[in-house]
Amino acid sequence: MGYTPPNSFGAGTVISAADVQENLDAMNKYVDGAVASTDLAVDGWVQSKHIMRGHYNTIVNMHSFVSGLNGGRVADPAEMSFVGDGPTGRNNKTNPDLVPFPNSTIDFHLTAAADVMFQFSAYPHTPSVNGLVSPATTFATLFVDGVQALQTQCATNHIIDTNNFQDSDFWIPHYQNVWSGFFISKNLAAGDHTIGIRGTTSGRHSFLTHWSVSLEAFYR
Amino acid sequence: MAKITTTNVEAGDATSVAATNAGFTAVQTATATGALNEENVRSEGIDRRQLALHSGTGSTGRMEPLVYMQMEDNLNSGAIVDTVYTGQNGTQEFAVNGPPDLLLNFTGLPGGYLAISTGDLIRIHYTIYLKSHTDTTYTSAGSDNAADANRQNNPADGIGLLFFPTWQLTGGGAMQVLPNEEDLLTNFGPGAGVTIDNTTSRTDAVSFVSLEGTGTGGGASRFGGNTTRMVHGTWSHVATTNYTVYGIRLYGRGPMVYQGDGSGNRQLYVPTWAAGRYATAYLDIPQSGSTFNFTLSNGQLGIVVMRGDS
Repeated sequence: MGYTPPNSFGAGTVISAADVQENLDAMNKYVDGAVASTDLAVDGWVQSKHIMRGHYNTIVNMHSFVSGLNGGRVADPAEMSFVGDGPTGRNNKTNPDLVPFPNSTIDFHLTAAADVMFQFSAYPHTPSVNGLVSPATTFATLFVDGVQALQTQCATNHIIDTNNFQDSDFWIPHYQNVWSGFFISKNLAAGDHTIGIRGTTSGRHSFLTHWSVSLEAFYR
Repeated sequence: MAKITTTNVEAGDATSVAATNAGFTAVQTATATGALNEENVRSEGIDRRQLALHSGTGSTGRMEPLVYMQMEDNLNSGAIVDTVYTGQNGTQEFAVNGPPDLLLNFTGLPGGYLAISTGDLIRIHYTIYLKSHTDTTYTSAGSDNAADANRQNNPADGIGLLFFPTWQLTGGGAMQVLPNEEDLLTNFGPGAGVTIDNTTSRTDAVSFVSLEGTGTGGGASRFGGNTTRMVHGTWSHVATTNYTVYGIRLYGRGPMVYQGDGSGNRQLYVPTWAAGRYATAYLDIPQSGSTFNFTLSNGQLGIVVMRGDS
């Protein structure tokens, strides 16, 4: 029910200040909380001109929208990251420590609780080094807020160069693995968060190239 | 458009009944049923308060564009568990069911299913870790056993283990092939294959996992079944009809060979292993017996459903 003036003025009548004020008061009440849902048009509400642009933060490569966040980190073409066997998996420790692969971590801020999906990929490379006999394995896992998501664990063996030719056929073998995975955090609380790839190796060291970590958060 | 147009009374004008009535009537007209529209709120823009909360099954508390997001894994009390799938030759599928099982089910949702509407964007993600297999001299260019060494210069065959997600569209019913994906739930072979394409026999959801690996233990070798390989598969699809999804399950099948079918088409083929070109005197795959055992460990199944026109 739209606004209806309580008073109308007939021909020849006096326009009283009280009646005019009553009409204005009614208008005030209508605007100030008496608009009924049936007063609203049923369509044509949202046009592109009404939607706010997202905000892109170039420093952290994060795009903020009304409905959530999109962002991530992609390694530069010539960039490398790595972990060493100290302090991780030297001598095949039973419970090796996992340390961050440098520059594989991103921070983000949620303004409200959100469902968040993370994805990551990387090309690991664990060189052959004299003295490595058993396949030295490098493991990597996604961490969310410092908590290991073990279900995302990936691995690769070191490049085995039995004849020490170190030729291209051996340095880029068929068993070179690509790491890729995802993880979903439901109803992640509003506030600051961190995701990143951490790893451990029982080789001397393991390198990453062409890695990426991304997130897409949908506010609840 | 709910605009109010009135004629203001200026200094020196005589106040009239008609003009006074017209002012209030203009407001009444502008606020009549169904008259208020975007012109009245445009300066506010759209913020989170104005985005709809999806009211459909399973989407409680979620705001567009997200309808539903869920993930399951096969950890056992937080620990990774290996499961061996024995006697595989590619002629039929096997469910990746552990234990622990790897099943994304929606029994906890109202009605026991996930409701997907026409136009929804469905995104299925999965990962599964192929830890090892039992062909200890394997390379795709031929076995590296002592009797048949130096095959590394052979052209490699496209041999791999396949993984693919399926879904259950009726309560208690069988898992079904995803729309327009090649049917790998049907048995075929050995000595037979299926032709794949980009229309109704797609492999968009299929992951093809190389069997290349290293040796194990002190005899480290460039050849063998120690694959240590994680695979990440996805399927993105805009629903062309409504679906009620009761569950999503991952299957494996293989080894199979990716090759031409002789007519210029692409094919997934199930050969007779340890025979023909894979016999001992040739590629020698597998080096012992005619089947493979696959050890799988950590895996995940996830789904994201998005909608933009609620």
